[in-house]
Amino acid sequence: MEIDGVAPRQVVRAERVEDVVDAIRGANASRQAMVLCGGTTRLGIGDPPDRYDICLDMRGLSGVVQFEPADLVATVRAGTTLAELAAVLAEHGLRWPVEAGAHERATVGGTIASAAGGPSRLRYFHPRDWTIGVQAVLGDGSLTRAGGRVVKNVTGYDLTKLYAGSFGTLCAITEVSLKLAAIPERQLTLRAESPTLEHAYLATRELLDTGLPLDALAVLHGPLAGELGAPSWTGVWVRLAGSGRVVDRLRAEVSASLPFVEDDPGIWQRLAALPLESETSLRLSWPAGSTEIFPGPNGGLLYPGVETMHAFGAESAQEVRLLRSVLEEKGGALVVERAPGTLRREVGTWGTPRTPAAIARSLKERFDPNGVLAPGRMAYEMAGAGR
Amino acid sequence: MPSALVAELQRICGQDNVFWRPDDLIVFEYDAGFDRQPPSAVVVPATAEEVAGVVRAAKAASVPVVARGAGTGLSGGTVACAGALVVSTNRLDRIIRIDPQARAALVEPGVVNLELSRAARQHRLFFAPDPASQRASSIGGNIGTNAGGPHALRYGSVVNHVLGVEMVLADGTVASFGGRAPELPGYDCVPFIVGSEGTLGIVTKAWVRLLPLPEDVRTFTALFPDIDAGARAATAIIATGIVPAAMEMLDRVTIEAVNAAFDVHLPPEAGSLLLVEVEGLREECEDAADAIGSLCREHGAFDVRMARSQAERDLLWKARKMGYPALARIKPNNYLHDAVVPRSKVPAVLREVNAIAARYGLITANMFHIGDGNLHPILLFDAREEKIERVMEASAEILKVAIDAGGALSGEHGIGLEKNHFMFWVYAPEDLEAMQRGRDAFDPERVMNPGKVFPGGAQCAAIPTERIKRGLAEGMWI
Repeated sequence: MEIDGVAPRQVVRAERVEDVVDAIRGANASRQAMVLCGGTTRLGIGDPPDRYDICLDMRGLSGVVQFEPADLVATVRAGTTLAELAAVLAEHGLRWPVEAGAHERATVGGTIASAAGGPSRLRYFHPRDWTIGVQAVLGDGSLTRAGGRVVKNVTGYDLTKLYAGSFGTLCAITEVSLKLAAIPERQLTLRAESPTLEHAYLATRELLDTGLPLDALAVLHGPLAGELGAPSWTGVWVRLAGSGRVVDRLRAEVSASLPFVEDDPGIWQRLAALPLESETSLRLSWPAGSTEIFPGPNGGLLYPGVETMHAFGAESAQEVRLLRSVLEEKGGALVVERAPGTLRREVGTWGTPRTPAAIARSLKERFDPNGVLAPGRMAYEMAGAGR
Repeated sequence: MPSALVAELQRICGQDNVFWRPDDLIVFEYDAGFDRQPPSAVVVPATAEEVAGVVRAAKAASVPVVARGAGTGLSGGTVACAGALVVSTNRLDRIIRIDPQARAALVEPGVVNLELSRAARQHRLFFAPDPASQRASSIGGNIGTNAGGPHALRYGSVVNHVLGVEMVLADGTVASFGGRAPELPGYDCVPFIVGSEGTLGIVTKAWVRLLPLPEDVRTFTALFPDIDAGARAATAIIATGIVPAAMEMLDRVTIEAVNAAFDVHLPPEAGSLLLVEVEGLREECEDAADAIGSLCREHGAFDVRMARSQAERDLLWKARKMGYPALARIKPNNYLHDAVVPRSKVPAVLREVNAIAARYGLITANMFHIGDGNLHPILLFDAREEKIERVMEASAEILKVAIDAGGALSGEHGIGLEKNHFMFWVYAPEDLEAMQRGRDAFDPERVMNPGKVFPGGAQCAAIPTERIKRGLAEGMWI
């Protein structure tokens, strides 16, 4: 529950939504700073909180509330882990197509609140695209709902999607309704080696330009790639999914680009977890089309097509600033997801926020009037907004 | 005499681009729905800077602002209340850039939906949202309502396809949110802006996602003896996890109307028809078409026919998308809600919907997105002879059935003026208050499209149809 070496003064365990309401009301009344904790896989992302009085542990708030397989919709409590969810859904041949890494620990609520990425981004985009309704406790303790349990819905503002990626600074997500998909009949993971990162990037670009429906695509560069089956230090992984015939056809097509061999499907969990494990991990993103890619000193994990690179290893503050300005210039971003506290304090987590400061501040003030939810974690304050 | 505001608007946008004489305002009184109210003036700016100037001028004159695209909306979202100024996006109609590598396009809000897909096609890409109005409706309006369309079944609604927007805020500043790169830092307001029905600001540019054109498309029809059999087949298909690109139901009334209008030769003996499209790799389409065909037969389809050519496919979709005008052959007016229900509840809800229509003695036509449970029960009537009150009452009963089944008020048309009073059927006061917090973060004085989406506002109370709906919403909620 520690953030940047700071432990909360108190840990409150929520098991029912009422516990969340009570805890937040209490914090709001006494102006105590509260951080929501799930599986803690992404707890450290964000600027270190100004204050850290209470950790509200959401893991006890777990389990399925309602699941109608025939609707391809499930409603679950936010503390349910991705692995628990997957097990329940798999019994009916279904899944929530969001891969976030460390699925035994990562909670559904945390995955949505932190907009977790992973291999599934290529085909299934953002976790919010598979989230259709939410129950949330706002910073003043109001218990609210938005969205619903139907897959298409424009009944009022969809706050669900605003809360996605707000890192627990606007509300505590207590329950979510999820849109589901069928587990494909067959999935096949392939691995190829590439002589250089640039070569791998161009090869994956070629694969993407075919327009073929790839299920996931990743390039890992550096010593970690060596450990995972690519002695050249650059490995390319592709996952194909669909009926047997579809997978056979795709395998033949992708093999024209690179000499693929079959690999263990568990590799995707390994890959997705890497950014959560590296001591220093920067998330770089840019609009497609740039051929410059920037791994860290210890390499990096690239998701081509999603145009995201997780760069591993320590950089100097000066290098991070330079890289950030290059990426921001292109319309991209550099987020310091994991790093020693000194580096994070020097360069800040987020860089230039892409939301006007006045709007961000106003959202924060309205959803969390006393600023008790993870104050200081999100970019709004860095943009010069007052506290 | 033009007002001082009109003079200022003329200075900003040119005299030809401001309308203020009552005769010129008539076409801006309504959208494709039934609520009518004239704006105080209409302005047609050509740049984001002009839009910003217009909003500042309106603010200085204390006049609220309503953004308007092609006026194809069905929920009164662009009807001006409280003497509002209408800002038309018609001249903001450029496709600024298509970036094939990023699979994205930068467009202005006045670009017509179909034009964007046409332009993207040159790069073997397409814009997935395809509302039936796509020949006329604009991207800005699609964003405002979070429009759907038949192919939303596979690809999702507009919210799943907007990456970034530039928007003029209520204070007349130009702000940008998101962009082509994934996951930019800060609160992600883009999906919040999509579907906000012009209450947060006026979108002046948008980066939208394009998708690779599928290699293969199969379109087929499955004919059933009655609505119930067709609905049960559709529910069974979804339950297997097969998600077609689109799955539409047409009932007998609709089939007859489109046959008469389009020479499409749908079998008149069918009680219902599923129009199904699958897209993807050739093998994927073959597998899915086989599986869906078998499921349809198992559930009582007496005929499953594959479209044999692009021309045949185009004709089927034309019949579907032009189905509303076709229905005018039966009665000149139709009233339509677009409630959504959980997909397993579709057969039961449809039975109730048709029973309600029968009880009111109304002809009903069902032509809707059955795959995602998005109903479109169309009540046909003749406004010259029949009172709209009764039609609205029947529609409100239908909404009630959908909500009781765990559904939502609208799947793609929006709330606007049409359904705002029904919002408290779905949401508790604190839920609506949370939405207002989001709105107030953008527009604390609530001058952008006032009187819409939220229940109870006084701004539009003068509109007669508003009073009827308000009465129904309050009277039927027990």
